[in-house]
Amino acid sequence: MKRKIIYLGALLMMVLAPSCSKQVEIEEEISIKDAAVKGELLVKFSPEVAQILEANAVLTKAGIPAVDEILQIAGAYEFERVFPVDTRHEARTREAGLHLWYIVRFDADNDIEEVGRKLSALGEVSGVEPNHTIKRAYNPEKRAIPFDVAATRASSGAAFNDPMLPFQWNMVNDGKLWNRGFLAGADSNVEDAWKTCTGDPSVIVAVVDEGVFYDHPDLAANMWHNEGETFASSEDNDGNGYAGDYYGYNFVKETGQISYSLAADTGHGTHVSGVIAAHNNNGVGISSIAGGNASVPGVKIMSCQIFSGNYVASILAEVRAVKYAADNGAVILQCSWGYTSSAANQYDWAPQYGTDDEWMTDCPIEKDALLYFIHTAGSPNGPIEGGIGVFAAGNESAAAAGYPGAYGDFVSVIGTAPDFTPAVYTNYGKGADICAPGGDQDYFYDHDKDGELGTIGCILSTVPYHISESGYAYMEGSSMATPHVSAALALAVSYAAQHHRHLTADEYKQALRESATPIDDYMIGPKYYYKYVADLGQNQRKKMELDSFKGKMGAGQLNVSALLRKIDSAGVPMQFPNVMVSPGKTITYDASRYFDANGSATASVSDTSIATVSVDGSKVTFSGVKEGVTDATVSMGGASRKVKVTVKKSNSQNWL
Amino acid sequence: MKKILFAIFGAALLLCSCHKEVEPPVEPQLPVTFTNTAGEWRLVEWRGQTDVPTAYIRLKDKEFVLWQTAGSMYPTKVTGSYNLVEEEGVGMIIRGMYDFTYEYWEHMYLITSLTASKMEWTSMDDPTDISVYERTPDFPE
Repeated sequence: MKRKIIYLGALLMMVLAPSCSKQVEIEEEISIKDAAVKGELLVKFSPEVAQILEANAVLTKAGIPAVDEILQIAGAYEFERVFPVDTRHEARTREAGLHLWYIVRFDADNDIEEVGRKLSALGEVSGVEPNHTIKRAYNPEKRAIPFDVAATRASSGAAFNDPMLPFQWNMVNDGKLWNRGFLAGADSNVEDAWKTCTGDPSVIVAVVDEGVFYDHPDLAANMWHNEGETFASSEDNDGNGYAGDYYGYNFVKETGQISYSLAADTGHGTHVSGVIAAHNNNGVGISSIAGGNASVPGVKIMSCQIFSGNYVASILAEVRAVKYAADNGAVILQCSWGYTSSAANQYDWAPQYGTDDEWMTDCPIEKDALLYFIHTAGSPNGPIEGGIGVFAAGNESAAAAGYPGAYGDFVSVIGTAPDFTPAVYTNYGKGADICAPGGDQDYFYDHDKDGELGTIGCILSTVPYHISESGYAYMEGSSMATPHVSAALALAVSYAAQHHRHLTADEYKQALRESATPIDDYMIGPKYYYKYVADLGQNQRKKMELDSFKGKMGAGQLNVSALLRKIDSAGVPMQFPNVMVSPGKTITYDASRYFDANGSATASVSDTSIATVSVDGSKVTFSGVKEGVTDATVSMGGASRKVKVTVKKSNSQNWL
Repeated sequence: MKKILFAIFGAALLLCSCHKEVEPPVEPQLPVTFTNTAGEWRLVEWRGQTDVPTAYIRLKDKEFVLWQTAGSMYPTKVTGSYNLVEEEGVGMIIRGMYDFTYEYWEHMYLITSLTASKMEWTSMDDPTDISVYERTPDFPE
């Protein structure tokens, strides 16, 4: 059985397939799940036929006789690339082989298995995968807990003037909130970090989730805008393959109109966004880890919508969203979803992938898209080279994180309570990397008084108004822990950008782990909590033995301040890069990113028969004239750097 | 006078013989094979220019490592696989493909003038695009 879950903790679950779904093996090449879109297959062609496809493929045909014969019998009516052409990034799309993935739509009455089997048997086809559906299911009794504005209180000495900050133990935990046994310091340790950096608008976090409430008063200032696009336009004005993608894109409905307020929307995407980049120190609502400071902008939120109300989303939407994020500048991929843990108990769950091989074999297009993100996001000439995918460990109380987060190249996040103990619901152990506050409603259930049901120990953040009239509500889950880590990494990249340092994505991940606060000392004795047992119709007191979590909580608890200190000594200083440009093309660098100075730059080239240079403020633009190598000198603020300018035909930035 | 002439001839003969002694030995040409091209090489000339961006390539067991500085602020290293194919009447052609990609190198190259210490690569689609590589013990790890 195959299910995919978005982790909403107490709120909801989103499943790829109903629990009763079955996997049917078709030879060895393809596995079809019940939860697949009928009449659709994702087909990866062999590199050898790529040119034939591009030359001959039309709306309903591949242009390859053997393939077309099968498609014709299947009643194919649509045949198109999974990843639309974005001329700015087509070269690297090809380098990653993503141009070889096509979606075939055919008569829904035809058997997907049969069509898939026939296609996968062809030498021209290297892989066939059904278009899995992502189906939402949730317990309507479990809702986000609206925040009552009347409950806000003045705070003295707080880092920011946001009135709800005193309720955000996940940011600053003084141990006194609600007087319910919280442990001072069991938070994200972000307060000291805010003194040196609160975010940088050049850093983009892609929230791959429900749509983000982009007009929320606490989020609007930090929403990403695609300046080349018109909001919700039906035209693809910037030629990136997507029309009207101003705040991001709705990959479910294939429109630039992001949705967040359908009756079945839970506010999940808006909630995780608030943890990352709600506007700090604006006298409104909550504080966030990387949301700037008053007039200083924070990191930007890009809404990559893959869930929408009760509409069925699919793996197609997910992989397009991931690639879109990389191609449009995001360097952190915030993913509070994943597959069920392989260690989940089989009574309540349908355990899934337990090894990298299992996941990669069954989800090849998801693997391709996610690896594309981590390999191609960022820049070798910027503060981060590569991208970082951050995933929820999952909520099955299992001793193994769910995939994709468990894959070694990604970061998988465990949820903790306000005393460093593992949240009752959280997955942990194998494949999990780090802990962060996720809330723990069941842990504090017995403290329910005065209408505070469910709020104690949960995470307060932004939500759409149909979830809470105040625009703020409490949720819990490893879903809620995950954005703390995404935000911390975004803050670290911001800090590096502002201090002219360059790190690889792997170096950021290493710094994240090395800066974490060890919490094994808190894994002692029993932890009691309350769980509603439907069969009995009542809450029962339960116990978990904390000793069994010792050594299984990843690197420990997220420590944002320590992470920023690590950046000071990690990586290398930024310096103006050597230049490689094709004849007839231009490439522009912002010198202010490399020199510790403001103002205008100057630049000169030794041999203008090979390349020329022009300067506009801090922007330095090189133009390739003919193939060859010449020297250039770029200066700013009294500092200079001599670089080599290579003019060479190249689709990539590689020498060969 | 004779003594002077003898001295001049003697010096000339001596100079000639000395000049001959400092001429580098001519390295024998080697057939272009996987074995003879295997090893670590440094780019020393491109399009007749010797002031080129630093680039190294390691060829071993049909896999390559390319260490390069062009286009970045710090060296970058990329890996992939390559093959040598004989094209009748032309010679041995090298073609590579990057890892994590299905993309070939920008060009295929004809390998000529291979010796124990040097080789020339000429782009198959641009005969003026000639790179000279020298064997190096200093491949950056």
